[in-house]
Amino acid sequence: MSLLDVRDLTTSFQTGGGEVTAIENVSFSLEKGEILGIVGESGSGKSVTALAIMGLLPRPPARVLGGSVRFEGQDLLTLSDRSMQRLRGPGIAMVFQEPMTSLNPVFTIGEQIMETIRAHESLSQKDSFARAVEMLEKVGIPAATTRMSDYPHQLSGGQRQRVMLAIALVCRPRLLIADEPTTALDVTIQAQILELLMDLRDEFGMAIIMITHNMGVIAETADRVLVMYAGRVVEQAPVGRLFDHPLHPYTRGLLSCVPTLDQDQDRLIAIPGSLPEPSRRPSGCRFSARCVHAIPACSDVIPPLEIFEQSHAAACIRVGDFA
Amino acid sequence: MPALLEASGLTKHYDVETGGFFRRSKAALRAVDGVNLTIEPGETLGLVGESGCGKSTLGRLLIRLIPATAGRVMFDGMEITSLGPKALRAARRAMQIVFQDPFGALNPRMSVEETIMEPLLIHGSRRGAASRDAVTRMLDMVGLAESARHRFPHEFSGGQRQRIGIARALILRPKLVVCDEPVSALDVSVQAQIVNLLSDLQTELGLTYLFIAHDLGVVKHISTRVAVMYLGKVVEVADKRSLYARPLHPYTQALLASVPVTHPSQRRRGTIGQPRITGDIPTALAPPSGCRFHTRCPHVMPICRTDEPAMRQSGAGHQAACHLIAADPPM
Amino acid sequence: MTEPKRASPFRATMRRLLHHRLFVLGCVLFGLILLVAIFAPLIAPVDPNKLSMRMKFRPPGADFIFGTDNFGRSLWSRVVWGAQLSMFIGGAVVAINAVLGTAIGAAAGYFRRLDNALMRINDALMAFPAVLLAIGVTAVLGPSVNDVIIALAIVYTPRTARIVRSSVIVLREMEYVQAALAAGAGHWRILRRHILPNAMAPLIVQLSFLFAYAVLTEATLSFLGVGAVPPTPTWGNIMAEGRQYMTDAPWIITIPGAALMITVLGLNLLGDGLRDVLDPRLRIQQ
Repeated sequence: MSLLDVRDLTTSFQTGGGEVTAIENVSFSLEKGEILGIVGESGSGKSVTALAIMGLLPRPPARVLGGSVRFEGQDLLTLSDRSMQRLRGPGIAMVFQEPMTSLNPVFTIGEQIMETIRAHESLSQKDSFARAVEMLEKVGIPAATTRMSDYPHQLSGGQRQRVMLAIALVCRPRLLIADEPTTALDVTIQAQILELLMDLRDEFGMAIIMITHNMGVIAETADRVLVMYAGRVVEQAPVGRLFDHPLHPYTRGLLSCVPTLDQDQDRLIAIPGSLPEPSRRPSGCRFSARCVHAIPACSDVIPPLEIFEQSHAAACIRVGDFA
Repeated sequence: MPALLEASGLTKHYDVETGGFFRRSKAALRAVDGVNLTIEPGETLGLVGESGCGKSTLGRLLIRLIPATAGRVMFDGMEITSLGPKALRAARRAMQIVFQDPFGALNPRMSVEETIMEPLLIHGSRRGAASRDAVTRMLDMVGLAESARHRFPHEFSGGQRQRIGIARALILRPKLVVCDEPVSALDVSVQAQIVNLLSDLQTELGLTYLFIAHDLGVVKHISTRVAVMYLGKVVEVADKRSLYARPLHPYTQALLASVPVTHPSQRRRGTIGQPRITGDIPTALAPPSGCRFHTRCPHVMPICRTDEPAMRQSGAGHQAACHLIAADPPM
Repeated sequence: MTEPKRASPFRATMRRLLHHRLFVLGCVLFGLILLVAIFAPLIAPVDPNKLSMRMKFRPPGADFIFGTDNFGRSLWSRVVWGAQLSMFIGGAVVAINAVLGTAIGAAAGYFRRLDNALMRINDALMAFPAVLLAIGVTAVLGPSVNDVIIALAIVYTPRTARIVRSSVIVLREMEYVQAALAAGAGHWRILRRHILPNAMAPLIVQLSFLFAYAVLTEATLSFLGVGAVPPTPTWGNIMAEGRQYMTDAPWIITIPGAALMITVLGLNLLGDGLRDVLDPRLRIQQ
């Protein structure tokens, strides 16, 4: 049994202009200790997927239209609020992009970590303090005992993200969802945090869903990758395969449009056009309007995600022509 | 050929009040501290550094969008740091800026035509057919449809908004354009379009760019030369190839080593000897003594804590401020 | 075929306002009072100050719709002409406020050097309770309608200036303002083209509430006997006189009271609607 198994997850948002689907038929599974990267740009639905798994979608305006999210065999979509709360922390934890606003400014970081511990375990004040200090040391905060009484504003951005990780990991979750955990950080700090995440994965054996728009972060951390575009999964593959043989034109565009340090090009290979707004997605393949390989048939049907080889799947009717 | 822009000893300090209610004290936040920099005509000078290093402030100082605390800037043979208000306004024709945030950079109540035309009107043109034609040419040049003219910013995507901002910056045909993180707020798949557009326009109009960014890949792609900033100082300047192939300053080395790999097979985990740096950037309110990087530097020596290293030449057009560098012998 | 007109920000805002039910209700209530005020000479041709002692204390009925007061004056006429006065005073105060408040607020917010001086004067004025300050000013100026207008303008301008200033401070740092500066724009152009048009939304919201405050404060001043001198038919004056006969002739005080309530309620609904549509962030702050 997989640790997490998401099947045909479909959600929508109520907007001023009517109901708009956010993600459609998102399916994937995740094994113990595995790092699944989800890449996508704004409007791809990557964060909505994460929030739907956590049961944190604001309802209304959001609504789950169908599908299932099985965590250790249990369907989270049918769970009561109480049971879901008990699961968040020791079962699934999450860290967000913005380390500035994710911490409560009026409590010390020690209080915030200990609060999380005591919400799930009956530990004495002394024991939970020791646990919190231990966790802060693990995430690389020096002089952890004295830092326990610091307030969030006394920490730098990188340290705040470390504290967020400490809060997320203090109950030893089996699954950590990291939503753009390094996007707001500088590149030298990003390298430190990614390294730390990998170390913690090795130590705790938790699975990680790494959500990002940065192919470099994927190349650096993921075991398997899900590429999302305009609310749908367009490609799924083990990380090596994805970088060696990207199948979907969107994935190939993403990989080639970012200038890298180890190659020189006169011109970047740009993907034309811009991301469709959720209410104005094209019919058929969502990428067809920007795809250089599009044929008329592309706008007729939504291509299903089909497995090709070595658990490599892509949703494109022309995949056969590229392979 | 003389440099298009030459800055010497350029400094910007902000007064910050610290302390409590009764014991107020003023401290200087040294955003930019004694920077010397030249920009050659027709080149793109990339300016990289982490947040808070002062790169954006430096960009604005160079075109005098904010006044300098000390130092001077020669632009096209004119000392712009001492120009009076009227002469400065006239001089602004030749130096323009493109901003990072495509949402905040456009007045929501002005149509695309009004936005792009405004610089012309400021410099004395009339709101007539000639100005409208100029707008048409700019729309075409930045790849926007003619029908965009009467629309408002909220109807456009981030990439299109950035195109509008570029058209506004270029309608006066400036010589120097400061591009302040022009693609970092855009979606990855749209960034390449804007980078290509900026390159094309440079060739077409003979522009000179100061390209400020934190993305080392983008800077490498677009720049001729690159300057690296750390805590208000330029620590290394070099030809692009030289800088990326042979970074001299430990900070530059660390920056390059921190960039995520481009292929999973290059993962560096567990590899030893990488000049990874630890710790956070110190505050510009109380920068470290001596070399400002010494608190994080893997090669720190006693002299680094006390003496500030001067810029030293090492190879053609390659300069860095580090005690480790043996300067080229004088020729 | 002509292309449908592009949605300018103004049109889009109008459309959303018309879909806001409470805003529309507010407009109807306020519009009703406004129409009454404008057409006062037509709908209440009887002189509101015409005494007729034989007719005093007539209850509302067929002869006198709203009855008569202690001097036999037609309450209908007095309330209708009172509406005109209230609308005139409210409108004048709002107009003066819009001009002065914008000027002071924009100057303080845009030119940092003026900020401290202007805002400390503002703070000092705002430290007085509104009614008390208004009483003080009318005591100095004298009790006529024009003096009441000046007093209310002095009382409320600091509040408007403060709101304009806070939006200007935010807008001053916007990158499109920087872009205009970089293009060589002068201060006047930046204020006129880039800052003030974008500072209008919170100002309009403020002014609609201010209209209500002005009408209410004027009534309070008259009621306290420091407003426009009797027998000027202001709602406050009518209510002040009616207070003595509250048990025997309750209509004298309740009818102008109801008129006042409709006006203030209408303006508040209108202001709330404007705030919801123009400036959704303010809703959280207040």
